[in-house]
Parts: sequence; structure tokens; C-alpha cells
Amino acid sequence: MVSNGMNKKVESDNGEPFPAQQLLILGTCMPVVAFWSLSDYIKGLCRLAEPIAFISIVSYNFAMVKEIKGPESASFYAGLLVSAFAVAEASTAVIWGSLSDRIGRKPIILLGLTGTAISSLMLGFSKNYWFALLARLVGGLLNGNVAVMQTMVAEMVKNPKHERKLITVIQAERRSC
Amino acid sequence: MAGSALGGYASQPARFYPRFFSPDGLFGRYPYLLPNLIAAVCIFLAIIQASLFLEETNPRHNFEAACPEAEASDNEQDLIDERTPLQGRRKSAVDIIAPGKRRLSYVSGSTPIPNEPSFDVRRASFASIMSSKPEVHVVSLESALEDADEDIRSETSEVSAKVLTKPVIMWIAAIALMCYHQMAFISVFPVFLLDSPHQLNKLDLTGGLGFTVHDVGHYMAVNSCISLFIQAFVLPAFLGKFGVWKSILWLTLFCPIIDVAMPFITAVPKPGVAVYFAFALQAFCAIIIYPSLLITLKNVTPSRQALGKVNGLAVSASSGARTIAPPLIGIFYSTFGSAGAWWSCAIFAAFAITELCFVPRPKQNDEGTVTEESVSA
Repeated sequence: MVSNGMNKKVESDNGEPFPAQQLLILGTCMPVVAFWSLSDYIKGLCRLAEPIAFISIVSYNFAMVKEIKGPESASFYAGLLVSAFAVAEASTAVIWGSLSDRIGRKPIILLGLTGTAISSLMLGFSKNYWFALLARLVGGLLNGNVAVMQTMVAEMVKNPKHERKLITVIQAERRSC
Repeated sequence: MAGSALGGYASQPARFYPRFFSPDGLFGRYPYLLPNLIAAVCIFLAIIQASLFLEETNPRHNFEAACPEAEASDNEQDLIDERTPLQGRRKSAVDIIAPGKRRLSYVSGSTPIPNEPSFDVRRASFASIMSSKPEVHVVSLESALEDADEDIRSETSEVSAKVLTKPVIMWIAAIALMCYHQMAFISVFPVFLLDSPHQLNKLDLTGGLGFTVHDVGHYMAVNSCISLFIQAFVLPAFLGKFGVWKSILWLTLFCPIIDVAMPFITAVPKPGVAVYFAFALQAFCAIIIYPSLLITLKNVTPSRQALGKVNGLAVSASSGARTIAPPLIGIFYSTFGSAGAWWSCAIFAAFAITELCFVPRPKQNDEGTVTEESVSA
């Protein structure tokens, strides 16, 4: 049990303002978590970077696979490109999460963003289906940002009064593309 | 969805903007480079911004940076003696506790003295050093945390057996089915738009609508606005008026109708409006059903402590459903054609309907409130 003296010391942190600026910076790095309908942009943060990289593929997926692999079973291979990223991300999420506990959140987030950028470029230059698939896998493997971002948001908001806003932020993260 | 609009507009630029992008140049040879390049540039900007301005929030990281003397003593296996500064000890103790919401079994055995964390130093000075390391020390605090966590884990393992009751499992299955359905719809939608039609101006059960990638971008952009509108305005009003259970029931019954009707768009001479309408209906169903399912799941969970585990299971189930949806619907599309793919979605929705017949109806008293906490649960 933490003693009462400690509790008093913790609650004196209530004066901290809602970390809007830091959340805004983080918001531009928000990863794609789900291919959903849009979130509540009225409250929201701007999100630029990763959702563009990974939602944009949904539009031209089918056309690209038809060109680089051929029209047979193109829809299956197109769907495979979409899920490959998700599977790769799910497999390494725990590793990146625990690594971020040890070496810090920021390096992992920067690494994840870099991996996404590399993956996008690889995908853009792909002339071969398996190269495109590799690009998506690389993007997923290097991207641990989902859990780390949520942790970071939770750690940023220390004031209990801001927890309602925090829940909205996390919701917005999860639902947006 | 905004991203997919970008993907649609920026693809094949040599074909659509021949004035700016020559077919022999880089963007002609790699037609899908432009959207990815734009994405990479945006990510690069985000990296620069984050590396300059983002602050590290990991409490352990900050603690280690702030108290190098604690780390140094950790490395040298330095034991606390009478000469250890009292102030240094207290500062490190408070910094360990303050940022985290960890459960601490900070005191084990000795009398807690509320306002003086330095009581541990006193304990070390006359207790046998080997058997009881001071709790304040970084290494032993970590092991104390592990011990505490183990105690708590053994208590909760009894609770976990009762968590997976039949309603909980059935509602998680409902969430997974719904996520599959939505993901399948979103995956097959561009394919249906892009695929070439097999029969013109007649009901085409195997082909698509034959639009270009640009048109797909256009449709996606408009659909994202529609979804935003539904999410912001229609969702709270609808749930407030009809409540959670009725929403789930009616909209789950309605979903297969949309799926069955989708192939008939090919028979419509100008399919634009029909496409928007179909997508709006599907978005309406999905956006309203998902929070309702989450609320219902929260209500049927037997205990508050189990909510985290149940939520984790729900997230895993929905992620798994979303992962298998695109390739599976792709197989259906390749094998059976467009109508086959849409009607397979309808079959999965029918599974959800039959499940709704068997699931125990949730209690009346807790349903309907769409507060932010309940939706996030």
C-alpha cells in the first residue's frame, strides 16, 4: 500500500494542463489501427502520416495487382497485401511494446515511422507482386506504433480531470483512418 | 478514408495528368509510386517534427535520467549504509512512485511511516543486509513489484475462469462477425468499382462497374464525408432514441439486404447515386452497430475487473476478423464473381442474425447511454 504521504505528493500534480501540444505532435504520427469510418474530427487531432500510407492502398490495390501479377485471382492477392501488414504488425507488437518500456517511447515511434516510410517507397517501386508483399510485411514488422502511441497518450495525460478527454483521444485514434 | 481518396487520385498519374507526368518518366514507369511518395514525404515530415518536439514519456526513462546516482549504486551493488544521503534516497523513492499507476507492495514487513520514505534506510542499518535489501533501491523495488504482481495475479486467476460466460462469448463472436462484414465490404468495394463489366447495361452477376482509379478515389472521398456525418450526428441521435438492443437487432437484420442488393447496381444505367446510397447505408449500419455491441459487451461482463480481459479478447477477435476478411472475400470474388462476393457477405450477416436469435437479451436497465466512457469500454 502506498502511504498517505505519497498519495498527497502524487495528487499535487493536478495542476498540470492538458498536454494538447504534445498530443497534436503525436497526432500527426498516428498509425492506422483499423479501416474504419472517420472519427470525431470535431475534437480531434490532425492525422497525416501513416494513415495515408496504409489506407491509400485500398483504392488502387486491385488495379496494381492486376498489373503486376495478372488478372487471375487478383482480388485474393490484393486482399493478401492488406492483411499481410496487419499480421506482421500483430506479431511484433508485443516486442516493440516491451522494448519501448526499456529504451523509451520516442525511439520506437521514430523507428516505426521510418519503417512505414521505407515500406511505402518499396511498395511504390514494386514491379513484382512478391516485392510488394515484402514491402507490406516490412512495414508491419517495423511498426510497433499502435500500442506505443496509446501508451504515450495515456502517460501524457497525468491529470485525472483530463481522463474524459483522453478517452476521446484514444477513441479517435482507434477509429480514424 | 481520406487516405484512400488520396490513393485514388494520385495513382496512375501518367494516365490522368499527362501534362505533368510523362509516360516515359519515373511516374510513368511506376504508376503507383506517386501516392506512396506523398505518404513517405508526409511521414518524413512527421519524423522531423516528432524528433524535434516530442517529449519522452516513459517514467522509468525519465527516472533513470534524473537520478544517475541511483543507477550507479545499482551497478556497483552498493549497499545502503549510514553514509548514504537521506535526501537522495527520498527523492528517488518519490520519483519511482509518482508517475506510475503501478500497484506497489512498497512495504513488506516493516511498519509504514507515512511521511518519511527514509524509514527504509533505517531498516537497512540494523537489519541483516543480505536477507532484506531496502525497498527503495531500484533493483529490489523491481523485484518487489514483481512479487506484488504475482500475489495479485494469483487472486485474479480464480476470477478469470468465470469471465467467459456464454453471453460474453456470443457477444465477442458478434463483434468479430460485424468487423468481418465491415472489412469485407470495404475491401470488395473498390474491387467491384474497378473490375471490368462482363455484360453492359444488363444485370451483371460476375463483373464490376469498370470505373477508373480516379473515380474510386472520388467515391472514397465522398464516402468518408458521409461516414463522418453519420458518426458525428446520426449515431448519438439514433442510439439515444432507440437504445442499444433495438439498434443491434434492426440493423443486423438490415445488413444482408444491402449485400444482396449490391450486384443489382450493375443493372442501373447511371450507377453513381446508387453506389453512394449503398455505401451510406452500409456505413450507417456499421457505425451504429459497433458501439452498441461494445456497450452490450460491457454490460454482460460479470465483473468490473474482468473488463480488461474481455476487451482484450474482443479486440483480438475483431483484429483477427479484419485480417482474414480481405483475402477471404478476395477468394470469393475470384471464384464466384462479384455477386458471389457480395452474397457471401450476406451469408456471414445471416450467421450474425441466427446468433442474435440465441443470445440472451441484455438487461434493460443498463442499455442506451452513449457516454464516452461506455463507448470506449
